[in-house]
Amino acid sequence: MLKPETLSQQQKLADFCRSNVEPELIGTTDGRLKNYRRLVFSVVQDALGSSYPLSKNLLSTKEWDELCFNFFRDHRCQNPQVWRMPFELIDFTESTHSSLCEKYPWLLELMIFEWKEVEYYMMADLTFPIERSGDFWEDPWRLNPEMEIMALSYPLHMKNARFISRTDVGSYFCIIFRQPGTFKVKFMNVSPFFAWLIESMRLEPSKLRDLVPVMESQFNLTDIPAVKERIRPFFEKLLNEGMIH
Amino acid sequence: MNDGVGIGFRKDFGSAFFDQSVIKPDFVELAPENWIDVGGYWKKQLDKVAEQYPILLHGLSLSIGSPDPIDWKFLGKIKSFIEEWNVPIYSEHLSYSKCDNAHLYDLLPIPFREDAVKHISQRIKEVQDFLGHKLVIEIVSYYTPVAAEMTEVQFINAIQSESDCELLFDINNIYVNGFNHGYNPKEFIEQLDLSRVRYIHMAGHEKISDDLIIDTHGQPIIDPVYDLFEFAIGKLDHQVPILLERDFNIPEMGELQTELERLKSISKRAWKHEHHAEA
Repeated sequence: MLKPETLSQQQKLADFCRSNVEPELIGTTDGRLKNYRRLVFSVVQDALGSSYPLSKNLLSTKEWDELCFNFFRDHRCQNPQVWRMPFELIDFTESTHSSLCEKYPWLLELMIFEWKEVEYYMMADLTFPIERSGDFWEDPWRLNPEMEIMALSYPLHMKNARFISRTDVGSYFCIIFRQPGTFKVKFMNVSPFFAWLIESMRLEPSKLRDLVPVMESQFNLTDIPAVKERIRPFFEKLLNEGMIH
Repeated sequence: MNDGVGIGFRKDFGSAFFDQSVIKPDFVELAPENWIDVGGYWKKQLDKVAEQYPILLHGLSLSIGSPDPIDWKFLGKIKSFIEEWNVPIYSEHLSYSKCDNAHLYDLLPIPFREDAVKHISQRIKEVQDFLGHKLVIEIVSYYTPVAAEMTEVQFINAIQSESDCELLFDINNIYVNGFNHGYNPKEFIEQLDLSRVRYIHMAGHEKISDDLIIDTHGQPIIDPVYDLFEFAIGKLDHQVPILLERDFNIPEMGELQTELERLKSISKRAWKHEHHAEA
């Protein structure tokens, strides 16, 4: 059991590393404590900056530095793996920096978008479905489990975040996936129509023959042969990229 | 695993390890925090590394000196990693990196005090019970003492004795601490219980002012640290693996190989001599 004074000394040093407010500690060497704050905070800044390069670039240097400073001072970082820690910045930004979120309405979405790239690049391998063989329309397709559809309010996947404005607000869909073999994380813009199709397949392996009639009513489609003509090249692209099996 | 000269496997220069044309370590060391629950490209690299080299683990987040409870869930993941990759040595730092339920991601100095000795020794014993083997604890570099009531060497010896842990003998840290706190590193080494040494680390550092060295692992090992290494291993009555740490400012692989060969040459000479002396 630590004595209260020992505990307090440890807490004060840790608090100094987070807040940069120099404490009164017993028996330290003059001028040396600052090295701990510098070393600790540089690890945190590096991790945040490398996870969110686009968000960092979107904000002014002052805004970004303040966000990082406040995050580390006010938030208690929970993850023992430093590369996972930056994920915690998203909730912190949302709950404590409303003025930044108002100034840049796409900031939170951008941070989630950037974090997805880190997450997909690093995530543990998932089991892939067995290679498919069979008829294009009659046999069920299965999705690469290392993918998802992101619904976005701003075109973050198509436009430099610094050039996005409030007038860009809309409904965008983007597939994010880790490409089998290369392990690269890729993004693909998709229409609401194809987003719906992919999402339906994500819920359960589905035959296109069964999905097309549902789409017909969902999207008020009339020219089914034309729809089928659009589906085939899209699916070939998904197949080539390893997104479906 | 009782000998050999290895190097820290870093993502920055990981690909150089595979063809072994320039750099040829006997083993590699990983920080488990960088590899646990990781898939994709880096998992493939880990598989390739494990095919070619024994893996040793050097943890960053155990925070054995923390007032906070041990993170048993994460330690469970480390245990699984040790078992999956057949890791012979898992080492950690005699420091703390979490306090008041907040991770700090670097190594803070523990007050050298009797109550801290009891607290840490108990935690080491619990960790050893959980893992089913001894923990190898590193003497860390530090830039200021905090609330010390005993010397550093008394603190280390007391923890080793009470917890029955093993020692990661970081020669560069001992050199750095000797310089920063004005003691003779050879005298420091002579006061340690060297029978507990299980592993050695060697590294470079950066002198940032007339009276302060920072343990950066970003420079080549300097001659006085090689000299201290030779002195230290001359005091050991058993062989242990030796690791070259290089985390930043990565040079050409040939330079790292030269450092590995120099470490190997010094250790071979010392341990050959010891062997003959025994005979």
